[in-house]
Amino acid sequence: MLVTYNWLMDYVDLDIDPHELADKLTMLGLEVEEVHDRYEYLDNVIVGRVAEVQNHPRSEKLKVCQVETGQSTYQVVCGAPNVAKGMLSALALAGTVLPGGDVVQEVELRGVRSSANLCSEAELVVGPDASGVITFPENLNPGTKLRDVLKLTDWIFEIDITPNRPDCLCVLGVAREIAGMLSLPLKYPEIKIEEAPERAEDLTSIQILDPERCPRYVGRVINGVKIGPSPFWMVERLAGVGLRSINNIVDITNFVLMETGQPLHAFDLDRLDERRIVVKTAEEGDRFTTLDGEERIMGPEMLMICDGKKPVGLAGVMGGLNSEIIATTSDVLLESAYFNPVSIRRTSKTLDLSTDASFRFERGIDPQGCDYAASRAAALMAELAEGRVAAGVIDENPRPYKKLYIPFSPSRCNSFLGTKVEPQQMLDTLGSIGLAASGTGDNIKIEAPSFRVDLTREVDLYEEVARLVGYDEIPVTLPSHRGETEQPDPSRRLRAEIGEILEGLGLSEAISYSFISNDFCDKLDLPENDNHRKCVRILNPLSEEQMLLRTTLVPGLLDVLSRNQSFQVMDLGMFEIGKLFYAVDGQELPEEKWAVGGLMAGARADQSWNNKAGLVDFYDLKGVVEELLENVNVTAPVFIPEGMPVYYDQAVAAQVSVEGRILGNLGRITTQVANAFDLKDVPYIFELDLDSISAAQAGVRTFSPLPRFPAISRDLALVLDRKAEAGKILDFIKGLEEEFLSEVSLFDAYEGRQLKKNFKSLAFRFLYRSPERTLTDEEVNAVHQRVVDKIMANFAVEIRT
Amino acid sequence: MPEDIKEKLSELGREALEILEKADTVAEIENLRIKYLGKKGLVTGFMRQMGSVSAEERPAVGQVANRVKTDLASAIKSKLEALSDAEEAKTSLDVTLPGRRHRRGHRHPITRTLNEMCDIFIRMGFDIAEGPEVESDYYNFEALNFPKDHPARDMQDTLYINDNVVLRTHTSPMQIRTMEKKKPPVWVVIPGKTYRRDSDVSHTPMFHQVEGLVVDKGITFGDLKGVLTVFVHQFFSPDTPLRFRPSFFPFTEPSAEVDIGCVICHGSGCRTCGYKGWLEILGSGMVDPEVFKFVDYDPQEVSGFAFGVGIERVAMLKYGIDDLRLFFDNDLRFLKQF
Repeated sequence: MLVTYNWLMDYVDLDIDPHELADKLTMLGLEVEEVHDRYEYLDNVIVGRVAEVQNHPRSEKLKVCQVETGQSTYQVVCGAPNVAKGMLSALALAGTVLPGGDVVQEVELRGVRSSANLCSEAELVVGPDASGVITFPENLNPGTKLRDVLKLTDWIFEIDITPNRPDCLCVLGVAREIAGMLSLPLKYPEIKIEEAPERAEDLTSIQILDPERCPRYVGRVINGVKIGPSPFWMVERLAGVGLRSINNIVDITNFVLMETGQPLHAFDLDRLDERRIVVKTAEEGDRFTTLDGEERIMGPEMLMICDGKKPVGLAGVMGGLNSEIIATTSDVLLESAYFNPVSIRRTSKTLDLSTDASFRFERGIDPQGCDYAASRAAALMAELAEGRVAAGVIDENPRPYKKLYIPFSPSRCNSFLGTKVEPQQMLDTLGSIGLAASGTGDNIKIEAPSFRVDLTREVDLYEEVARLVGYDEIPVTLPSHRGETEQPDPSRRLRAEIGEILEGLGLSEAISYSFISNDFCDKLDLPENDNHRKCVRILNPLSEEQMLLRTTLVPGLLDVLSRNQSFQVMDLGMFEIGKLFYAVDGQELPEEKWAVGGLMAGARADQSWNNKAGLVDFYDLKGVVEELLENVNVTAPVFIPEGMPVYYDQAVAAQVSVEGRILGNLGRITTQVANAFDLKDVPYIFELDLDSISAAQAGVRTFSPLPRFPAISRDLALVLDRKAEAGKILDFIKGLEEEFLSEVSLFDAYEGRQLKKNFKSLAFRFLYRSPERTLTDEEVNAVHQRVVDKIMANFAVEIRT
Repeated sequence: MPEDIKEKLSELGREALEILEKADTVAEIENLRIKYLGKKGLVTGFMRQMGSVSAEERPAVGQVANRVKTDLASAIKSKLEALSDAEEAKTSLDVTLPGRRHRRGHRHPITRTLNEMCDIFIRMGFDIAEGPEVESDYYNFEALNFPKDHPARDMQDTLYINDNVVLRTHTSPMQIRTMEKKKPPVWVVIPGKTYRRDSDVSHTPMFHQVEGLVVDKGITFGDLKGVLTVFVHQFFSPDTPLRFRPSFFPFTEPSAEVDIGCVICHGSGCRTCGYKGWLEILGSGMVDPEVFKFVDYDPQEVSGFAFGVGIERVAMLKYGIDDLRLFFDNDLRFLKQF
């Protein structure tokens, strides 16, 4: 919302620096986003002397002028009839942005270079004359800036009006706030109408068939108007708030809208069938062409302004092409109505058509302001368009406004805000913006002005007190805490732990969008009935890339790798902890499940002079998963090469579970999937479900006493088929009930020329220990032999010698 | 007489070893060797005096002399070796070569910021809650006093799943869910992801918020100012100026936006703050009584305040990040800086 300093001055005598005013408005809740120096564009417009005028070689109307500014000479092609040798005029240099938005540029006009523009008053919006370029008196020096000649100052305030304050969507409304804030009187424009003898009610009629959607409709008739240009003051006012002048009648409706916030519409009365207005809802499917020339299809609940036969306006949104003011218009019916905000909003949303009028109606205009605005506009039509205002106002008011009194207690207000404002000061403060009080003590009633649609409850008045006294004046205190706190959420804690562990393992955290591309399932080669395809779909996505909510972290991680590879970052470990979303039949909200995913690609460490790191392999990935699970107290995870999703290379992947509960999977993705994601390298990934991890966690860790006696170790190297699983032997050994066997580890694995083809060797280290004494070699030998025998008896292995 | 010689010899040996002990250059040690063991050296000189010792006593004195001589010679030798080892070690160690590093991971700056913020509120006694990211219209709007067909809904561009289900546009729905579940006192912060249909230089369709809610008897607007002042001072710095400015949110009344003194220019005006000297960092306000009605709290009995902070915004200010989109590019070169 734009207002200018000079326009505000019409209603309140300001004597304050515009920037200071902006700060004060901001602190009052009318956030000023920018203060523009309105005539800044005149900085590049200077006085120039037309030194030479020649005819344009290829045009009869155009002249080629040499314009001197004292510093340089500009060649200007000019079409103004009054341009003459020796005159002083206004020269806009290239780069000047004119008020209408046009930019002065160096151009060729029919083959002749023109490097600046000579301007008229109207072009620069510094005066009314559009007939020719400005002529300045002889005593000015060429090169003088136009600002210094014309002494023009004004500022444009760009204010962000919150949806609760429609009363401030007009200059008078902002002036009212300023007047209250600065304790200055507010001057409403005086309206003087000399009514003509003919009576409005004899000239037209207004009938409201839908009083819920149109509680009030005020009409005035102005006869015999002469359509023409608006006076300069009007053009200047409208230009200041970004509106172009159209003609005197339309300008007046726009001006009064900007001044009072009441949207108005002027109908050409001669073009209304039966010269009357009927307000009713549209028939579904009705077609109607609005002022902007668009044909629109009506919905059943849209309110229409009709004449005796046809629709002539889309109520509160836009008038119709069939009844707009045209050059020959003589009699005007002026509409100043109050429409139901919800009805206007629905219409505006449905048609995707938002206008200055609909914006205000849907927020709520002053239901008591229709009459005032209509009269203000009628008076201006008499003044500026020689119209005759018919006697009387037609005021159809089937749902009359009821005054609202809000109870108010100064002491409750103080205890709510934490302030100690004197009750009288509160009432004075409220009075300054037109909130009249009656009553005493804590039994005050405040009359809410009709334009303040946001004031309905006592708490709304607390806000008024707070912002008028100033939020800065409210003391800073700390609430007392009753000391009750809740147990931390275990899921959140688990996620925090997992993040720390993965960070410690060298993986960096990624955060990807929760929505992913609609073709991700295909890119992952997922079968038609795959669970991952039960996606939640966004109805109005920003793009196809952001259409589905993810059911796996994998595509996001692959995108992260792809993006990094495009930045030449090839070696990386990443993880993400985030939610997956699954549509559930018969349930309003989807199921949201936390998951952790990881990705490793390239070298396993950063290359360095003392660290020649190899490429990441399956065991690096598995190590991360094992480390992760062990650190969150998930014991004995089982890795089996079964049940992995199809995007894994089935020969280099595994599923991980604990006691039959599947936690997730890990492995290398297929080359096909890597290609689908434009990857230069095939990465290793894992993905685990956090609820399953949580369920698999052992309880609170308990302490085991440290051994007091030394352990004795024995090594055993076995030769076995290369496809045999080491894990099975390890599990078997761990399951043996030998009293002194305390630990077993796998310290070497070998395949190669020293062995027969298709065989491998595994070397185990056994630790034997007694909690009561140091074991003798003989004791250990005996136990170890039993262990070896049991292994030999249960597996197809040989002892490697 | 021979006892005397033996005594002097031993004394000489001790003296030499003491000097050797303190010597730390090859030259010093060489001088010492010449002084004691050289042809004209002190120990050699004593040996020459052997002639004055009686034949019976000569072997005993000789033994002492030899012992002093060999002890000193071997001490000199090992000292020289030690010196040369140290010398060698000095030349082969290059302390400027990079050490043997382990690859370390990096937490996302959003996570770091979020954790830091939550920690501040936890220290003040807040609980943490989380909620669904896909929400019903009721929790996201209706119960927060955004009626259907109200222009306040225009304040947030919404991604819809269907007419009644949205991607939550703020973390505020959890205010309702929290109050439905428990009676006052409520002290809760709610971190999480939020979504809006908005994508440009200053908006990403997904972003993060931390929501806060305090409800109890006698909570005042002053308390809201106090808690947020503590937060700003702990998160930025104790001398960060802040101001509360009237604003509008449907679920708070009165509402306040909080600005902090620009962390880049310290108030003198720069591009980051749009030459205003102030940066908006969060929205807040006293819980609107309409909201209490939805959760069966009695506004006559209790009052409260709520606030919502955009994580990306404060992370950008804290770390001086100038492009919002960096957060979701997940460029390792970016992440490694945290």
